[in-house]
Amino acid sequence: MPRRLWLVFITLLVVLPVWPTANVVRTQQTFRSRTTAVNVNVSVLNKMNPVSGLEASDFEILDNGVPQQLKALSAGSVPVDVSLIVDVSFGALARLDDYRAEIVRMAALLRPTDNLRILSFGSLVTEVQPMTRATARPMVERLQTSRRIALNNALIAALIREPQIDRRHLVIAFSPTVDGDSVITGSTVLEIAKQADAVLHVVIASWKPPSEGIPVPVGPRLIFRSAERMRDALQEASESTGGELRQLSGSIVRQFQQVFEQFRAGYVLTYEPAGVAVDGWHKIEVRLKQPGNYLVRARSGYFGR
Amino acid sequence: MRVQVSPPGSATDGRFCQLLRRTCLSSKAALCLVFLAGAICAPNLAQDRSLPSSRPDRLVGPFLDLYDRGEYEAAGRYLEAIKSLPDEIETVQSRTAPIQSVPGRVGVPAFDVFARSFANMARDWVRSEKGESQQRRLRVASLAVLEAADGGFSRFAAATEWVCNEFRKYPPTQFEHVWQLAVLALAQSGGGAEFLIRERDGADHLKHAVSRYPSEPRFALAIPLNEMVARIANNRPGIKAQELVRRSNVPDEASSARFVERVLTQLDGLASLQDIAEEALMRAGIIRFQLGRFDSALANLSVAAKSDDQFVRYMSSLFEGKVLEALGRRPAALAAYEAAHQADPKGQAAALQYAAELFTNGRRSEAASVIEGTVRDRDDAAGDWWYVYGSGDFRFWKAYQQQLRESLKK
Repeated sequence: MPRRLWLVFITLLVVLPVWPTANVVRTQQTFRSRTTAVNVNVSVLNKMNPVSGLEASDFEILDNGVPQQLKALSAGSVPVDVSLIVDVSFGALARLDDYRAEIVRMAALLRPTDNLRILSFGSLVTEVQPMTRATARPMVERLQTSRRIALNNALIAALIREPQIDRRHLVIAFSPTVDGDSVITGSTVLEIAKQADAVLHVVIASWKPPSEGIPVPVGPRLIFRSAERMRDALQEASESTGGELRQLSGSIVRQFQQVFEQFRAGYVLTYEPAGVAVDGWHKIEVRLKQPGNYLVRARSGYFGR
Repeated sequence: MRVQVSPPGSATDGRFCQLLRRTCLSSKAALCLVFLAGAICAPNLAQDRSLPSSRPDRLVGPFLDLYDRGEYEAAGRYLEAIKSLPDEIETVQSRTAPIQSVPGRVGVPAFDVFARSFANMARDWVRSEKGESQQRRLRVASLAVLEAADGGFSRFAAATEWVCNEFRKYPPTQFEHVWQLAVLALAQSGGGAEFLIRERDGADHLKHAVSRYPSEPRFALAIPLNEMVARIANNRPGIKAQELVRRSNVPDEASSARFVERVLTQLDGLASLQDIAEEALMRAGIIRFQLGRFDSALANLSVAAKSDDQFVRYMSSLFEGKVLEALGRRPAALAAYEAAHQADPKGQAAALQYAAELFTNGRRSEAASVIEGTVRDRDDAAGDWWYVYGSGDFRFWKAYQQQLRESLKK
């Protein structure tokens, strides 16, 4: 391996009980199974390029500081469920047709085994397309514009989902700016993100807070939400899932492609927690054993129940 | 004198709720409508006061038809709509400046240009039909006020007072009562908020309304509500008064605190007034929550949450949940969010908050089910009180608009 600076981007995706989960979910309304195994979705990058060929022995994983034995590692062949969150606020009005075409191009980047769900957010969060096999043409005609930016609402609507075994869940949100109208606060987004089985990437075009000049009834629009505080909350939430908060550069299709390719080329690590209490918050640390200037980014942990 | 006005505020009125859900029109469109509707009051006045009758819908009917079809951006589609207008308006149009759409603003400025030109030539237009000058004055006022959407509150105030002055020449009528409520509701939608609290304009206007209809409880609630809409911002809980009050209005902590206390006192004083007591409690509770006075907020909101008014019950339960969450009483917060969700199962704000609380309590399957229910197969016209609760009486706007229209048909 070259000695140059390696950028390692590790995304921990799934924290879900493995085999008991299916039965529990199917037979009970309330999900209360014990954590028996933890799946960790990992992407390793070198200067934004995915690193392939790593094996289980290359990774070290700690659960509440206790080293864990990896039971399995699978590479990027695991199918992906993508939840695409797109804004339909006032700014999208003039270019709605372009927007629809871009979403079609994004869908074309997925593999036949992948699924795509589209959620739009303006004032309301709307499921434009349920989780559907990526081979189908996205139902972009259902996109309609709105006048608000309820990003936080959309994020939790995507993150709150029943765990899907043998599939990874990637949430990518595109927003013109930070949240302006949600009932859901940044701290709630963080709380949900920490417990969700998804990797969250948020792409923001501008850090300016939503304009108060938009002619809508005041409502929550007058909320003195600091753009800086909202940005910090989004960053913490996305990084807690192993994802990232990004500023839009170039086209949204290109940005989507980058995120998706990094995610797809990742690994899924599986371990059964040992030597730690089951309940409560489990801090996870993932490292590469081999030396180098690796940047390791991973989900911050999970709640054991 | 107590004039019976239906149905604003009726919690059990399904029709109103449906109307409310469709209330997502822009303030420009709203301004257009209320004053177009205001203009249409002319025939009623004409009947009441032996003025010559006319066909009031000739001027604005095609616009109103567009709104009837749910095309709330009709003002922005003026160029299309104008083609279907009858001769009367075409005559006016031919005398106005050329109308051009500005790229990127989808025709809205064209309507502004029209409104401005129309107002400029208003005097001639009013005089040109002597028999209909009364109605035409009102129409002019209605169209001139469209410019208020671009921030011309003085025009809004002037036009409103102009129409109000016309009304005051005659005894109160049911139409005027609704019109006064509609003006209030629209001004509280945001664009006219400053107008409402300016002593010269808004306060005077409210005084006029109160003097004409002294038994109307919404005008009593409007006194603190106007202050809230114009000066108090929503914010995270546990803040100082100065953070709650818009800095441009009240400069320092002491005066901010005095201002907030005054509004709270006003709201508390209304808690014994029938019809608005629970809403006053709800609004006081929300302010106290933001000030971090969680116990007193909870006392207000828990009472208001038992209201028969669906809006009050929904918002009170939602904020009750937020207070309980802030107090760390998560199971109780979950119950409050569930109550909000039950108060209006289609209200997405409560659904999302309820789902989030279920999820963090480990009830993932139920949470996912609530999320699916609220994002799937949405009726695009469905709104959420979350987006209008800070806008005072704006939630009644659609109902008032409907009443004004209905009166035209009589």
